[in-house]
Amino acid sequence: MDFSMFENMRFSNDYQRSANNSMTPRTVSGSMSRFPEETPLAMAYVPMQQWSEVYDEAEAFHAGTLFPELNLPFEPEEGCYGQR
Amino acid sequence: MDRDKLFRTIQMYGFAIDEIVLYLDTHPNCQHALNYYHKYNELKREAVEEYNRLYGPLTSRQVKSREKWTWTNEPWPWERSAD
Repeated sequence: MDFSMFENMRFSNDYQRSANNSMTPRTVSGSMSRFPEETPLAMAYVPMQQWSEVYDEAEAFHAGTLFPELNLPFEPEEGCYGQR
Repeated sequence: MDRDKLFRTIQMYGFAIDEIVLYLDTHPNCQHALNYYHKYNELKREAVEEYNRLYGPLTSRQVKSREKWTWTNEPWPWERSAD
């Protein structure tokens, strides 16, 4: 399985990017875009996980994941993003 | 370290390694993840060694004795206390 295609993803950069969160690229029309340029339409995508923080081993064992960004307990009343 | 605590520590290291292995499967060039893998592999190996030294084999593949099969020194699972 070759994942090098994700190595140097270029996000659409446009004049609006500096105006707001530079990490979140924007399309020319200003709407949010988290996809590389030339991403074909009408296909489903899962964003590639990027390395960021990890829990220490005790927290990870308790949370059931090493990665805070994947710690998504299902809590019906708060929706799946409620953080305990 | 007391037996249960050491056992839990080994479990936690094992879980962290399982997790990072999954990440490395899709991020084979990530140095952060690779460093993490080697660090926790080593930590787990050391913890298991200590467990063997203090409490005997953790698994049947960790019997050190050349005189006697020590794996069966411990109570059988059904003989364990009920806790």
